[in-house]
Amino acid sequence: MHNAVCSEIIKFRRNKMAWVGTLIIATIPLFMIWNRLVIDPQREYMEWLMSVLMLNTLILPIVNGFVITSNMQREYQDRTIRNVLTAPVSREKFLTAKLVVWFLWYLISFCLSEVIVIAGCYILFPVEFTTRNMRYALSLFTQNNFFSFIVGIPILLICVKQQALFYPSMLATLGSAVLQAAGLQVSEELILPACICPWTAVSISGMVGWGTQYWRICTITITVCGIIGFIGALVSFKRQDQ
Amino acid sequence: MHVRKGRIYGLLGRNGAGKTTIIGSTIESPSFYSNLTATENLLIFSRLRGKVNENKICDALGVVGLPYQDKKIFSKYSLGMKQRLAIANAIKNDPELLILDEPTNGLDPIGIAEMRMLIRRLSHECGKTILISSHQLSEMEQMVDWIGIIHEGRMLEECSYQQLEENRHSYIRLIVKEPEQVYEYLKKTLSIENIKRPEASVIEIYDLKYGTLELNSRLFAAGFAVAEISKCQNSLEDYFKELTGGAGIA
Repeated sequence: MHNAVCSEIIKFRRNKMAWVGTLIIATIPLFMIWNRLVIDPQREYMEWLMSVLMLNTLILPIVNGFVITSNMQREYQDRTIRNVLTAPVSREKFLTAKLVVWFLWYLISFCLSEVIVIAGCYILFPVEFTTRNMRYALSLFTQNNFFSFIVGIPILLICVKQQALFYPSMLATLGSAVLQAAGLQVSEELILPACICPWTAVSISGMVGWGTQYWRICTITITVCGIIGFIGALVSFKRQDQ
Repeated sequence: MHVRKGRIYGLLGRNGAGKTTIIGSTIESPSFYSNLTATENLLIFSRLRGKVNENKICDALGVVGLPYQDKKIFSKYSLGMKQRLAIANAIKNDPELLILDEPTNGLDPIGIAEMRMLIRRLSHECGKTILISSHQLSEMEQMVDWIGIIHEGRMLEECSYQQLEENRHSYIRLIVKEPEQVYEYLKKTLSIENIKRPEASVIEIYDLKYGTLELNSRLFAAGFAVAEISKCQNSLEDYFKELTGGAGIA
């Protein structure tokens, strides 16, 4: 497993899409800091924070989907998958290593983004820059980003199925991002169905309180979605005969 | 199939004869990560095999004449370099047997010559047993020690290259002004049995009871004008056609 992960790290290091993705993710809070400083200096702390979160909710899943699509599609396009499938490495390990390194990249990117958000809070809102507020902001962003990654795992299944193509997973990525952003606008009457849909549940989980019934439903839905996505990708990859 | 240790075995057959199906491995189109260097590619595939030894990667690249830790990425490589990298990938774990499917496919003449030299070196200097499949007869002739001829999924013949040379027929080729009369003269007067006429003015004599010098003297003495006389040998392609019942190489 260690060797499979190391191989993936070598590939990710040279994956331009991953570098561009990290840059885009870091640019969101930077853009919002610039926006508050130059265009809208009157914007309140909470309003600013929610704007960053909304942009994050929309852009992060798109970048995330594009990165895994480029990583998987390259295996089929360059036909390196043939060398992989004939190597004495289990397909489970290969795909798990991909998931692990993909998550590591995602973790680094969103941590960088969160550091910039906190720095932005420090620069823009020195009065509101309290431990309590920062803890809330960090937990909100971390939960949202983490859940967003989990509901993005089914993209891996699409990537395995589509092989050298890329547009099915791109479309699914865009769809997933739109649903996640739509989750922020859900009315109170529709909150239960929105909790059951894993992609809208990501946004709902940030709006309802921790440990509430809705939060639990969201967490279960999101977890099930991630598990099904990964198991589906594994089964599909195991059945593949390139 | 009988592949002898330390030898180069050539599997010969037309397109679709079943060569790739038999050996089940290929470097016909080398597959590597186009955005990575040769060293990085070999490192990845070594890791996937669970054996990471950078010295072996360096040695393998050295054997095929590619630089170690070079910054050039795979997509910038020529086809010849790609094929050599595929061989480096195959030999990096020091296997005893190398299976190469159409290793010279798509290469230019210089690339083919380099690949041939590399394969010979791998066999003669590194002691590798090599199984090559190809439909390029001329290439096989210059490379292999043993040969297997396959047609429609069946092995038709398997022998050493030396035996193959012996099996190939020698004949005398004549170009004459009066082919009809010469043909009759050879048959009736000189009692030569195995004669063919592939073209109007060409006669091929497979019954070699007379040498070229003596035959020329007799024809001259009989008053025939001989434009050309030479001793020839069937090419591997002719032999291949004979074996496969007329199906030429693709």
